Amino acid sequence: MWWQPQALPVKNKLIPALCRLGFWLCLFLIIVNQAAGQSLIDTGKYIFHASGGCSCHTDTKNDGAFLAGGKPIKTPFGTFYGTNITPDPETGIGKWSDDDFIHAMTKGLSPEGNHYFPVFPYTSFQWITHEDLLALKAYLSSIPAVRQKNLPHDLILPFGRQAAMIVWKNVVWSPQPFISKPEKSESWNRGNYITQALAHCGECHTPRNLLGALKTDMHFSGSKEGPEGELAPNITPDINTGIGDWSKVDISYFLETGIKPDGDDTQGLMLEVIEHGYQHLRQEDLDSIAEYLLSLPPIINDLKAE
Amino acid sequence: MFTLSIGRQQQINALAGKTLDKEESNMRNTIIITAASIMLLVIFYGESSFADSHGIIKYRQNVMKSTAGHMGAIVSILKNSLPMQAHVADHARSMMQNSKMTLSMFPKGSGEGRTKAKQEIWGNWSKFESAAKAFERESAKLAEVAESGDMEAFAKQVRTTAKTCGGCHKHFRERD
Ligand code: HEC
Ligand code: HEC
Repeated sequence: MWWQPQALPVKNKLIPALCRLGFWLCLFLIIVNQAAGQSLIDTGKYIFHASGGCSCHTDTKNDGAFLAGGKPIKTPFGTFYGTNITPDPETGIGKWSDDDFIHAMTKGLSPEGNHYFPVFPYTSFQWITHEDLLALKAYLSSIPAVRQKNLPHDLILPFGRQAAMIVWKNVVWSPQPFISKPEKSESWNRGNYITQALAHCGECHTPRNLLGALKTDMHFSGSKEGPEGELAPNITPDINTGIGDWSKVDISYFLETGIKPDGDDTQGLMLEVIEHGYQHLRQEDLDSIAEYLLSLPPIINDLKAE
Repeated sequence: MFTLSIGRQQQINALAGKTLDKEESNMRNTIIITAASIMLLVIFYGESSFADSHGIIKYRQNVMKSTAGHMGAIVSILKNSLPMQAHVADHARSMMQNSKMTLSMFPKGSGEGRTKAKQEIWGNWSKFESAAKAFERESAKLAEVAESGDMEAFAKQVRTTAKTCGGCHKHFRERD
């Protein structure tokens, strides 16, 4: 009969074969997917390191848990406490959507619509690409969640007022587009992006006006009143008051090791961002930062003079 | 004879009704002279102790600078791949020699003057001591690795050694 003999063996072979194929296909897809997830986390970890390891969010002095906040940061505007950015849903950022995260990083807005103080350097992070931000979020979601309530900031009026922050964000600060220069080399542009957006070197190394905004015409020329009251030196290539006598390798070796060309070591916040972040950057990225810094216009700003 | 003469003097003084006054002023003189000499001593001692720590402060800053000089020389060779690899062992040995001087450069009372040394050094001497020992240990290793000629291991040990500088400076050296 038509439904008998020969046809069956074929069907018999075909179905298991299809099943097997399906099985391998699924397995393959799962692995690829996981690998992609893993590589997203790895990319995110690299972005994390390039940003200085978010060292403001770990209270290392008191052996605080990784990125669980609580670290006091003294500024002329009051004392801020680093916040919990672990994936804990209640006290951390575990409930945040991708959009929440992007808004916070680029617009300085919390998911509830509150404005962050520019101590959180969204004024630099605004330029991080969405792709890099999502990778960073994937990495932050992969670290251990820690339940630890955020401490309220302790600020001098009027800086403690949301209304003041709204004014600040609309009058003092305005978001600016990132300026890349296609006529310059690829490594220069990479250095521009890392230095300005990810590593946010300017947040410490640029002086601020009385309202806490960066003086953009003095970009990278150093600040006497950096976070924690630390002096952050002039890192423009001015020969007398900046780092004009540093070579490219001097800068990249410094960012990797914290050892200055004169053999002395660096301290304080610079050591923290190197230890928790910059030291893990690839050689070519460190070199690109150096190339970018040395291409800046030298600014005379003698911070050591009384 | 002597007593006699004093007796006579006293008699004269008594006659003049001046005995007490004289003794009082003698006493005052003694007090003034003693006070003045104590003051002079304090001033002199103070000066000399200031002069002493001035000397030792400059000395230890120079030793520190020479240590940093060797460190700087080593990293110049590494960073720029200079053909001076034969020198690194000498630099490393010099650092090791300097490291052994550390503790004796910070005697008690040398924390005043133009110094960046923090008072915590003498407040927490055992911690300072272990920071100095860490530097001794790692710089000795540095000299050892330098002899071996393994430049990769050497470069690594340079960073480990530099961490012992920072490990001490973090707690015990005032920032610029
Ligand atoms: C969180 C604040 C902060 C950030 C971010 C930061 N720095 Fe610094 N930097 C400092 C401080 C503070 C010092 C002074 C350290 C010291 O006293 O040893 C310093 C020192 C330096 C020095 C040494 C200058 C000298 O003359 O001794 C260089 C070079 C430097 N930073 C470059 C950078 C670069 C490049 C970046 C970004 C990739 C960066 N910094 C990001 C705070 C910061
Ligand atoms: C055990 C503690 C300790 C260790 C280890 C140490 N230092 Fe120092 N260093 C100090 C102290 C304290 C001062 C401040 C001295 C002063 O001003 O009287 C200082 C000062 C310095 C200075 C400034 C000198 C000056 O001109 O005023 C340099 C440079 C320096 N150290 C480099 C180094 C280097 C490089 C290393 C490691 C290879 C190192 N130090 C290891 C404690 C230490």
